[in-house]
Amino acid sequence: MADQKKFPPDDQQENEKELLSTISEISEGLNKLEKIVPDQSPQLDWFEYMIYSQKQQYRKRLVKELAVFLFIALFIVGGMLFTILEMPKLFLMLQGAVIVFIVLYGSIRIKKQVNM
Amino acid sequence: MDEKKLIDSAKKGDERAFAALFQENYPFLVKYLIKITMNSHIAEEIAQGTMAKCVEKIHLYNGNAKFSSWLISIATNLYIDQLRKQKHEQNWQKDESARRKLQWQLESRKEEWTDALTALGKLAPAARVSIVLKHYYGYSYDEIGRFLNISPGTVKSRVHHGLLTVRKELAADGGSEKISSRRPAGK
Repeated sequence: MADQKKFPPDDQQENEKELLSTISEISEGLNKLEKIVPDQSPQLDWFEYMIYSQKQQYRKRLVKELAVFLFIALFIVGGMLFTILEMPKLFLMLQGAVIVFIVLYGSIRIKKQVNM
Repeated sequence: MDEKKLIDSAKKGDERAFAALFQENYPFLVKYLIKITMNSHIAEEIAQGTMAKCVEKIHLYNGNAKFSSWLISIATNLYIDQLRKQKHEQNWQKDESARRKLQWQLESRKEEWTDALTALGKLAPAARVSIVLKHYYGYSYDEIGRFLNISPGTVKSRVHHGLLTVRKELAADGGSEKISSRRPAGK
C-alpha cells in the first residue's frame, strides 16, 4: 500500500508546483474579492446602539430563563410539601420508588460496563 | 487606545470601548466572511451575528489569541451552524445566484472574476473555509482545528482534497492559461 502512494521525484515536484500555482491563483482571486468590501466601518454610534440593544436582549432572556427556573423549582418544592403534609404515605412511596430506580439503573450500567 | 485596553474596558461593560473595538475589526471580519461564504448578504448577516455573540461571550476571551482570530473562530462556527440549519437543495440555487451577484459586484468595479474563484465557490463550504484560513490567512492546521473543533489531520485532508478539486476544475477550464492571458498588461 505504501508503495502505491510513492511518486517518482519528478512527478512529486510537478504536483507540488501545480498545487503552489493553484494556491497563488486562489489568493489572487480572493485579493480581488476583498475589494468589494469597503475599508470604512459604520459609525461608532451604530455599533454602540447594536451593543446596547444586544445587552438588553440578553438581559431579557436571562430574566425569562430565571423566571422559568423559579417557577419549576417552586412547583417541585410545593408538590413535595403538599405530599409530606397531606399524603405522607404517597411521599414515602415516591421516595422508595426513586431509591429503587437509582439502585436498578446503577447496577444495569455497571453490568454493561463490565460486559464491554 | 490600544486593543488590549479596549478589551479590558469592554469586559468591564464600557460600550464605547466595545464599539471602538468592533469598528476597528468590522471590515476585516466582513472581508473574511465574504471569502468563505461567497455571499455578501450572508457575510453581513453573520458579521452582525458574530458581534452579538461577542457581546455575550466577551468574558470568555482570555487574550491568548488575537481578538481578530477570536472573531474569526466565532464567525466560522456561526456560518457552519447556519449551513446545518439550511436545506441542501435550496442552498445550491441560492449559492449560485449569490455568486453571480458577487461576480457582478466585482466586475462593476472593473475587476475580473477569476476561474479560481468559480472553482472555490463550487467547493464544499468546509473545504473552502479550511483553504482560506490556511492559505490566505496563514493559520496553522492546529489553530484551524481549534476554530472548527476538528482534528488537525482532518483540516489537512480537507485542505489537500479541496486544492486538488480546485486544480482539477482549473485544468478542465484551461484555467491557468486563461487567467494569465486575461491579466492586464503590467501586472
